[in-house]
Amino acid sequence: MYETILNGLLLGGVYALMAQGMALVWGVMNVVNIAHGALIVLGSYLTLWAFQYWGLDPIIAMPLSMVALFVFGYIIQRTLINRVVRAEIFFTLLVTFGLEILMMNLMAWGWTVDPRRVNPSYSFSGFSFGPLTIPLVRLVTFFVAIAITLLLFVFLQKTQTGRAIRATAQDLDAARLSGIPVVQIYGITYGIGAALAAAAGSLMAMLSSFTPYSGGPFTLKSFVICVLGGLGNAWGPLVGGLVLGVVEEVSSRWLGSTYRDAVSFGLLVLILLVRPSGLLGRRE
Amino acid sequence: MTNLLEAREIFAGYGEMEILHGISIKAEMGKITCLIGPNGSGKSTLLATLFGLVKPRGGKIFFENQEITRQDPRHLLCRGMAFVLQRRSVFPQMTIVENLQLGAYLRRDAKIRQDIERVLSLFPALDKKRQLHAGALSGGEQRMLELARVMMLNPRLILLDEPSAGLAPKIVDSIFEQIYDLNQHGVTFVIVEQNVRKILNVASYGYLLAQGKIELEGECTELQRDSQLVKAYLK
Ligand SMILES: Nc1ncnc2c1ncn2[C@@H]1O[C@H](COP(=O)(O)OP(=O)(O)OP(=O)(O)O)[C@@H](O)[C@H]1O
Ligand SMILES: [Mg+2]
Repeated sequence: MYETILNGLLLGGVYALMAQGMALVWGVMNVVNIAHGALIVLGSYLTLWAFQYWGLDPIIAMPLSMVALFVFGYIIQRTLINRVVRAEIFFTLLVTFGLEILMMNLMAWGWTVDPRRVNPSYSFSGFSFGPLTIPLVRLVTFFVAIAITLLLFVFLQKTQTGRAIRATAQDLDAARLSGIPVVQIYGITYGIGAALAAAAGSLMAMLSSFTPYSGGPFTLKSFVICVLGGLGNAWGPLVGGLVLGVVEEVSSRWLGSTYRDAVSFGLLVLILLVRPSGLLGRRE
Repeated sequence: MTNLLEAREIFAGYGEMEILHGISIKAEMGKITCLIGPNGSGKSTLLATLFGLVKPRGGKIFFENQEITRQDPRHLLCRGMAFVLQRRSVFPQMTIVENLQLGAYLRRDAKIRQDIERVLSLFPALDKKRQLHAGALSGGEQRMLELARVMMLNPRLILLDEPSAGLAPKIVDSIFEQIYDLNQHGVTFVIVEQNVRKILNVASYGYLLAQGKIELEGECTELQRDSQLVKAYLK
């Protein structure tokens, strides 16, 4: 049982990272990014590429695919997403859903639909922790995910660009009147969201196999985590991710892993019924 | 007598609707100029037009004798103009210091930290609470913070929309003292205000706006003497 919970926490750290990008984009420009999962999968494929062709370890390849997806995300935002910033939810869903489908098809065309996985040399080693044995990859991916979450937090808190991102989320007019170039800030925010998706994709590529169509469940999980933790700051998704990780591991031990994705959906319904403002969110 | 800001024959509005029908005003360097007028007369629209947020359909705007018509807010901030909105516009989930850092967003020099100290010394009420979130401040303190934030760019002209709105009389006095103080430090103001009695005491020149036109203008001492006339328009 302890092993299950510990495994859940370790997985949850990666889930938390997975949701950070969606939470950031959602909170700042009020766009629920359905394409988020597809960006994660794209990050997985880039990591796979770097692993296959250059023999790069996923952790080393990660910064490269983050940079690539930052640029990709920035361009996508300026050309496409910027048209629906703070628009009605229907339009944001429509545009990002379209983007998801386009990305899925392009990935299927480029990489085929065969399931892939990145297995670095250490992927089958275990790590003993008193009476518990944990796969080493889970430990590595967890700590990398937490490190990136901390970096994100420091960036948002301590840099002028990070402050400008938060300011734009808190009061758009006031941001504009302070000389913050909000359109550029939106582009950067979406770029960072995509880069965080890439990081999560690099890590997920080591944890489970993926196909071009794996994005859907990732989007759903990220969405559930955002609802669980709220959007206000980087801690919300962290808590939400850890909770989802544990719930998933525990329930799949009882129910079998077939119901894995159903569990996050069930959790979503439960949260919306009990605490619509999220676990950490204030009640309206 | 030089005019820091001058607007000539401004026509502006939203969509099909024209709100300002040919407005001309001047703001003399180093002075406080006020705009009064009934609700919906177009005072806020005029300030927004001066600051490039609403694009005028006709007319010209000059700052330091250079035309600035249709320039965007970022340019105007760089030139030394600033705008404080009628509604509250602090960044609520950030501390006073962070709000001030954002006020300096357009600056790339190394003196921002020192300047935060300088600005806070001008606003003693904020200095004590510098690590508090802006959302936790009182209405008057938030107003002060909005002023302090625009001071981070050392503006020569501040457009101020209803600084006293929604504040208790005692707080209003302290806000006006603060404005007077900044004015003594050389900042020129254009202030929209509902509290006519108070603003005519502080300002030197005034315009009365009604239905998008200037109906009356003059030295504030004269306007005070004509208070019957002013009141008639404000009804
Ligand atoms: N963004 C907008 N879009 C459309 N119409 C607007 C907008 N802002 C203001 N108006 C209209 O323009 C007119 C003038 O409004 P404005 O806010 O400039 O008046 P005001 O003199 O500042 O009034 P108050 O004293 O209430 O602040 C009003 O009829 C208002 O309904
Ligand atoms: Mg107004």
